[in-house]
Amino acid sequence: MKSSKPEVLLVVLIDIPPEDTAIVVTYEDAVLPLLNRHGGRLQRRLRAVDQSAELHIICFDSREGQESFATDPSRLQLMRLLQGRILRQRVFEVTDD
Amino acid sequence: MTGDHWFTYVYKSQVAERLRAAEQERLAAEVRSTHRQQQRAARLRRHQVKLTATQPAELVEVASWVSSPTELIEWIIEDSNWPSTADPVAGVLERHHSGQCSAWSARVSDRLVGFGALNVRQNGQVAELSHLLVKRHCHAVATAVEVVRQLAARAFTDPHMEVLRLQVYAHDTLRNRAYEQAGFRAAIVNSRAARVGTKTWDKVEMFLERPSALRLP
Repeated sequence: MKSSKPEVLLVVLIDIPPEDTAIVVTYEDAVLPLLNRHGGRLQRRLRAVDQSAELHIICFDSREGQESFATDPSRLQLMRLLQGRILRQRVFEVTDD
Repeated sequence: MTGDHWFTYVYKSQVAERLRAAEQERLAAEVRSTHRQQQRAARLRRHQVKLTATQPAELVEVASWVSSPTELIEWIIEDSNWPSTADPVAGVLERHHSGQCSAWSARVSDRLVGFGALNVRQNGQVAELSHLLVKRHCHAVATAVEVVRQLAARAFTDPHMEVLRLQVYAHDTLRNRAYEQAGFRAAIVNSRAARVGTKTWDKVEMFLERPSALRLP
């Protein structure tokens, strides 16, 4: 069976301030399903035991897909769910050697 | 307290009260006057800043601003790493010719004062603002706000345009506030997302939705 290696593998670490847990989780619940439109997949979604952070492992078939996800109109419009809060995240591109 | 002392006390209190009231009135008038001046300046700028499609000759002047950073008050490109690997203005020209972006010049009294590009994505539903440059002068920040406002209005003249996006360095709160004045809202800070020289800087992603008044029925 042939297994194709994704071209882009990302780890996204999102800070969740205690007072904004519900807002951030709602936003992520809405945004992550959009990955499929752009050849992206959510491999793991992990949450810190104390709820202070989320970690997503995401892969894209192509770099164009990653860029396309960033400008997805639905993703941008869903930013209103953040209700003025600013979500802080760090994105690492990683390898799975 | 004797009668004389009582009279002096009451008189002084009344004078002090009147002085306080006069000072408050003066401060209030000052605030009203500043507000009026700001409103007048905003109306003037809106009237003065004219956005037109960039001509190739104007890009030569814009490129000269880029080579002299002190001439600029803003600089956003999709790839915020610095030094840039490619000539950013030449890139705009190429994309402008291929129809991937539209370049716009801002003039005040016929003088070129600003520049900006709209990069159309997602079959015309999204536009990213880039290469916003405003020449440094006394009303540069206000002009920059007006350039962004007019670029956004220009983008939304397309009935299919849903949302605008831009990314800027997060630390520059003064400039980011200028984008907010033009209607953009900050949503996501990407920590250490831009490499500038030997350092990494945070980037903030901002968005602006189509105003509801302009939505298709």
